[in-house]
Amino acid sequence: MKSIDKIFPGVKALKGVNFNLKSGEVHTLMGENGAGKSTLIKILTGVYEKDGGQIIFDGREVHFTNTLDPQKLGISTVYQELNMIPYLTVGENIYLGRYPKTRKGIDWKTLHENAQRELDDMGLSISSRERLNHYGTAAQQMVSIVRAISLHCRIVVLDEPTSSLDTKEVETLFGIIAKLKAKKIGIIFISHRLDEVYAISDRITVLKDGSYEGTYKPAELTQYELVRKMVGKEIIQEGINTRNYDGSNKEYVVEMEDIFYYPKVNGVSVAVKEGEIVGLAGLLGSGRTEVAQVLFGYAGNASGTIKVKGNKVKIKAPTDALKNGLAFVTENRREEGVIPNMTIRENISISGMPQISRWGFIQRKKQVALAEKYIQRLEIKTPTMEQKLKNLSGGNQQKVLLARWLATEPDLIILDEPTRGIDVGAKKEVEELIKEIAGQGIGVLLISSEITELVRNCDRIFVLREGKNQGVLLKEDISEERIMKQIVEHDPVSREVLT
Amino acid sequence: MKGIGKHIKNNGTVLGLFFMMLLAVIINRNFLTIENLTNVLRQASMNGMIAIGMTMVIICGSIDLSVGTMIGFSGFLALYLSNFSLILAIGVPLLFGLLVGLINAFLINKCKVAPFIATLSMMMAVKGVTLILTKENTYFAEHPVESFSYVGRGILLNYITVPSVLFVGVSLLGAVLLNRTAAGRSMYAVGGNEEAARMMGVNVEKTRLVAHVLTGLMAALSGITLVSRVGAAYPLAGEGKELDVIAACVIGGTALTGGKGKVSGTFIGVLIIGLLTNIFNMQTFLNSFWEKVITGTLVLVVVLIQSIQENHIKIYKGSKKTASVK
Amino acid sequence: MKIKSERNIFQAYGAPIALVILLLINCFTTPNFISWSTISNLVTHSATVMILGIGMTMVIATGGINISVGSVMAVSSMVLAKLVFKDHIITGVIVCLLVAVATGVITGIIITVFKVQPMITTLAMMYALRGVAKLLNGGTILNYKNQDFSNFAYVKIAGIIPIHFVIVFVLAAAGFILLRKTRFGLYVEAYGDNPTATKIAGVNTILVVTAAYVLCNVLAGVSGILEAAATTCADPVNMGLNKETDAIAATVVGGTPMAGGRPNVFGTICGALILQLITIMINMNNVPYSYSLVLKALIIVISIYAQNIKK
Repeated sequence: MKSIDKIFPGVKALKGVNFNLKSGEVHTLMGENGAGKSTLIKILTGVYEKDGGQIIFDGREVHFTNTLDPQKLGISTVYQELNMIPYLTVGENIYLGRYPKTRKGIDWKTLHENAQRELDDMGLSISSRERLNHYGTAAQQMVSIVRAISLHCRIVVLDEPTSSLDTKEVETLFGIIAKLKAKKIGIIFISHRLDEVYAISDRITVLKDGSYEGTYKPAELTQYELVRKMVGKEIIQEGINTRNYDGSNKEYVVEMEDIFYYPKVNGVSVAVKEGEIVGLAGLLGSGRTEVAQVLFGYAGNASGTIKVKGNKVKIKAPTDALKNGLAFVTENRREEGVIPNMTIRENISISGMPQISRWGFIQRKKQVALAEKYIQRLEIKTPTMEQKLKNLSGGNQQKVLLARWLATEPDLIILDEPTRGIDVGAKKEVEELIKEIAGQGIGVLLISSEITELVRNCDRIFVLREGKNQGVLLKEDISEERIMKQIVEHDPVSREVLT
Repeated sequence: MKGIGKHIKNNGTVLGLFFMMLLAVIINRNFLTIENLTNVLRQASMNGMIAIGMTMVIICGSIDLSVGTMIGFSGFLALYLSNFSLILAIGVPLLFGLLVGLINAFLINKCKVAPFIATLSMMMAVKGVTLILTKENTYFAEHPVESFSYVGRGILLNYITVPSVLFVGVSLLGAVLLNRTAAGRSMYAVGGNEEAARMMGVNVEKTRLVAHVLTGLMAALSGITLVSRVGAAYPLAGEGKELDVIAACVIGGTALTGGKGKVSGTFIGVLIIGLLTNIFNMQTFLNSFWEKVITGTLVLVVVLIQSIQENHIKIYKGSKKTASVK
Repeated sequence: MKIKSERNIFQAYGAPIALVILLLINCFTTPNFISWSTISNLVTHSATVMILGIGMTMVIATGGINISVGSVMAVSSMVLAKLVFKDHIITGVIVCLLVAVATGVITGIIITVFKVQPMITTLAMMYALRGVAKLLNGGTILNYKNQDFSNFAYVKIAGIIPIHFVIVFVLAAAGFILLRKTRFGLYVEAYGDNPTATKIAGVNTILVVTAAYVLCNVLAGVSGILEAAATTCADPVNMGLNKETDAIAATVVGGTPMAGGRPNVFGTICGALILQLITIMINMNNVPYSYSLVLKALIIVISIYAQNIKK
């Protein structure tokens, strides 16, 4: 792929990205959210059409207009969210659409024999006749890969295959990858776990903000350098935190200890004091979002103790979290935050209903006043508060969600990637707001994949790696280098240091 | 132990059927006579044929509410045309069954109307047309072709009724279609994960169309059989039958979320409901109105078990089988 | 930034506009159409569907469906008739509504807690409750022989306005206020629009959705009372039969999207009136009743199609 461009309305998602893949090679694509990894993959798999550049396959230029074109050429993708049919057998999923037939219709015996042979060839202990959803995510992924092989594919794209696997399963996957390499199949691998990337890759290409940062051999690039290329900013704007927060005589708003949430959180402890901005640093998949979900009662079976203002509490659902004075602006704005067809007024007031209603009736005047107050305070740009939320820009939608939670007058607000997908100007505004919120004595738990953002804003930073605490940095120790060093460090510090 | 549990899970409907038979034998000593069993099968076959089609529609993740009124419609057509020729009396209603299936699929695929509403409108329209044609009266044929009554009343080898043969035949064909043809497997793929199916190259629209057309055909066939046996076409004959049919599918283990279900399950589901009716007709100590209560409860129990199983799988993801390199 | 009226016009005002057009056409084409008795007939005959429609609007706004309302009508009216037969009118009404509440709670909990699909849950409830209704009086019609109670349906305010007007107006207004002016209404709409976001916003979604089913069934109970009063008896077999279809049709024609979100009570009322108007129109023009069904089916499909375009 040569100098690929992709333009989305308003954003240039890819700027002249180069990428090439040799047969029998594992080429890893790295970059944080919004770096353009998935856009590049979607162009390669025909989901999007490119706006510029060339795709050359086997020396010939190719054009993909739909998702079937690349498949015919032998480019198969194993997606993060599994794209297979859950209720059908493993064998059938492998051969769907290409059934062996006899005069009596589909020849199940041959199908399962062939499928079983393919599975055995890969050294998998998966039965072809078992229903696909009897197996866990890992096995389903393997089946997906086997399907790709049976299609005589030349390239397999593995989009974050390890994100929900445990160590043993990852080993299995790597075993498969080795076998693919032996078959001269090229592999595009996407992962955020550094160790894995270094263990498996032949080459690494780094993308940042849609730009091509370079291609390296793992031996030529230290983990620290790699992280710097992914998240570091060339021009560090107001690199230091100018707030003068003194937490010595402040109370803890929230203390979380020994949080386990299979498989991504394996014993994390985090605490936030009132008026403090605490950052959760770590790469994608380090468990930072999951910690927030556990705190807000949005995760399934999690264990560990949570204390709010010194009292042990049980938070089983978001309603419990709300009652305990917590607020949560999630990273998936569209799926988990925005109620698209309702007005800004309604979106702002939904969580703060108890304050503005009497006997269940919404007090319109109070509701309007509330919406007005936050539209002004957060400088939400909209002609009227009766505008539907889906018509606002990303940055303004984010402000509306922030307003929704501020309206509940929380003691702690969790902000997961609050500046993702919004433009630079709005980013700065949101960051100013965060400081203002903390200034009022509200604790802030800030999650971000942009380390500079954490450095600029946080009073304390917990560094996570693969679901465990790596360390904690207090204000004068906070710097990009130290965070990145901790991310790549191997021995997690003991828990005593954390508190 | 685990093996037994799995067996019960997979064959719950079979167990249910055995239980019903046992109950039937206890309640009614005449149950196990050939006459009675023939009767049960014949009575069940009207809904049964449609249920086979409905199973396919539901596996596709769709639904068809128009089958009930289709019975009345095709019944009238068949009886009216039986005055002229047997071929017309069977062919024309089937043609209209196909047409209604096509319209349903068109509304769902092209107009993007929700299947529930699309087929609900179709149900009303078909009912209206039937009432118009019959002038809101029960229709009797003046001089039907003699052979026509054979479809509904014919008996082979003393005991086997033609409707039961049709039902069993349709079930076998349905099973072959679903298990042994690419068209049938596509239905599972479409209902299981529409996007994935599309990615794997399945023609989603065509698959849905096939299922709806087949169901329309089955409803027409059921209507023909009914009038042939009764000898009169009551315009509202099949009203509400669509729900009985759906209930049979659900009891047979077909999930309304799509992608899951078997012809054999539906076959047993149909028999269970048929037995229930038979048991209630044959006993005196329990009011026959309990039948509906029990059917409702049965449906609820089946879906509750399904739902709990599904959610169980979701909660304990860790307990799923994992793959390992040998 | 411009203020865009994103909302599809057909969804918001399609039903009232269609109603007005239909009325106007009828004024010119249908003989004797312009009379008080026509209007009075229109409302009294569609009262049941309008009341059911209000409840159905709530349920459909959450993204669900309730096909058990007809059976709920039958059960609650049977309970009512049993008690009215013994001259306990007030107790009868209260118990009847309590029965409706109970059925709603069961339905709601199965749907929210056990995550069974609304369609299949209410299908099972439809069967079970119809059976129960028949059991209550051996499947036969129960004449409660209570003049006081049966007179109630024939009360005319100021000697000319049937009581149905008042009941429908009050319930529609209550439904409108509930869905537009209260927390509950906001939660219902939000849930239909984006259930995950609503849950994360700290809304007790189990309670909200269950309440929608309870209210829907209570309204079915009210229509049961009204019908039982008008017919001086309770018929376990035919009471409310197929009424769920009409109520769903009225709701959908009225502009509440099947996928959930924006409830439109006013639209539903207009939808019910349109469907009834077609029946009356066909009747008064001496066209057989059957044609109205085909016409209704067409109207449903066309209205959905109109609501779908521009999206």
